[in-house]
Amino acid sequence: MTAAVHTATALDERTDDFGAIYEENYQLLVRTAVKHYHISELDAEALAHEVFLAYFLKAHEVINSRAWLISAICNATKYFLRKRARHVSLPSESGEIPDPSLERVNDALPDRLAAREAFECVTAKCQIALRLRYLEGYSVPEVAAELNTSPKYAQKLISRCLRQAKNRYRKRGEP
Amino acid sequence: MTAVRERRDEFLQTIARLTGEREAARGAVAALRASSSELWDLDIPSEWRTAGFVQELTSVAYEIVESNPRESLGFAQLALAIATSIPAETYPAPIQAQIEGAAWKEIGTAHRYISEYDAALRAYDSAQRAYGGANALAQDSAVVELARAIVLAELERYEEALKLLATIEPILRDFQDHRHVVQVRQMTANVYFCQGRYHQARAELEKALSEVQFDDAYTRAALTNTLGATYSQLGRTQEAFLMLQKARAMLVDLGMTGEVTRTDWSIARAVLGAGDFGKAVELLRTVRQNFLALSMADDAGLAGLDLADALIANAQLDDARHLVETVLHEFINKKLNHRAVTALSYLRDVLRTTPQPLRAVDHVRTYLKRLRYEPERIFLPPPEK
Repeated sequence: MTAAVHTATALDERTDDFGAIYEENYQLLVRTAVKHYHISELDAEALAHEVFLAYFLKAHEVINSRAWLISAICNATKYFLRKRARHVSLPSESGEIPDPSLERVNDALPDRLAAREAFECVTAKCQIALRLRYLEGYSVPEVAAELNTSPKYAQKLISRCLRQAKNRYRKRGEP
Repeated sequence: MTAVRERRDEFLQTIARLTGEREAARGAVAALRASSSELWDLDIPSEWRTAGFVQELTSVAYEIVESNPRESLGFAQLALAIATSIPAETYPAPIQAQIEGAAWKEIGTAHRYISEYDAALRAYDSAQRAYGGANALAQDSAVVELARAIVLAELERYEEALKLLATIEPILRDFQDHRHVVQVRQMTANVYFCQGRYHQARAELEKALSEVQFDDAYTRAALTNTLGATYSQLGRTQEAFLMLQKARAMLVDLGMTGEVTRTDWSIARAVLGAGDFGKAVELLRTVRQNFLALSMADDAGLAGLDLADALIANAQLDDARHLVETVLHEFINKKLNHRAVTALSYLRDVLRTTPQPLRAVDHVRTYLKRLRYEPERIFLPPPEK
């Protein structure tokens, strides 16, 4: 009980510290992003919020909070602008043309959602095997190297995991 | 102002949630450390599917990577498996990207420690992909690039490593991340050293020593050690011994027995380089015995080849042959890489007849060093001159 009270107190103190840092620096970060990189205030606010979350994850090793936060907002904004620069605006008539990738959206979307859910209900070993093979694009020998096994066994494992995902997902849907 | 308040409250709710999750995970992760690997075949309990649980596993992987890289790899992979099973949109950006990237980073580092360099590079690629999913993870991303540069240097891809190090240094400096800035300098110096650019290595090491934090004794010791070896290569023997002894004293204070023996090895090599063969033989014999006592058979074998060098230079060729025979038996008994056994067998045989014994020893030593990161590399005798 005492330990729980201590933990709760420590958590409250920690939260207060982060709250103060947030309030003291939020406007500065938003202004920095808007003034130096000419992005909208709305985008700047979202980036600043993201920076504070990243700061929380790193706070134990940060020496100078303000310097860290400013560096983080500058880097985050540059990255955001780089990503945005890759976007190509569509011609005005594109609003009338259906997106070919959405042609089978009514069939494909439930499939994708089902695949994700099926992924979630397999064992830890299958999670990693399926992730390596299908999300990270590892070849079977690369999966084998990651799991310290032979390519033959890795292939068997992937097939078994796919079956497991299918069966468990099907069972989940049963009443 | 209300909007700021709302955002602040949302931020505080997230950190309270993450802190609570880590607290809750601590006991379960400690229990996992004591359990067997059977957990891989178990279903992931729903209460484990939290960012806090993933962070706790990743942190264990980080802590044990030096002492048990294989186990560290298991924890980091489990962290990744759990991160994968967390439903999308559970956490705001960049939490999910950060926990996945950090798990991948530890996977890469564990592979690096067990000399699986291709797997390490693949893991670092995946870490970068994960971090790229958020905007605010530039520092994490730079640290992964530092890890990648270490692997590239191990693979002797020196120019690529230097280029990468030069790119990340200003980013880490912006974040006032002094610890990693020093590591960048240290790595740059190591690459220069391997390239034989000793003057540049010395300059980097001296700058790094002026920046290293007071309480980071391990990095200070490592930098001092390399600086000693660099002075030795530059023929500045007295300064070399001074630095190496200083490094040794720091490592003794830190209780790092293996690293102390490695420093003794550097001292012995500096003595050998200075031409005091009798003394070098004496020191290298002790170094070899200490490595064997620590079950570091690979290092004991390489120190044995340095000892063979010293014996040959001291006109004790028979002793050198006998020593190579002993090292060969150690490798066979410890069931080390059979290709290393082939190379040592070749050396044992060739030392009976070759007019250039030092050249033969050097050829096999270079091969054994490469074999550490290319375990499938085939041994070929040196071309005849």
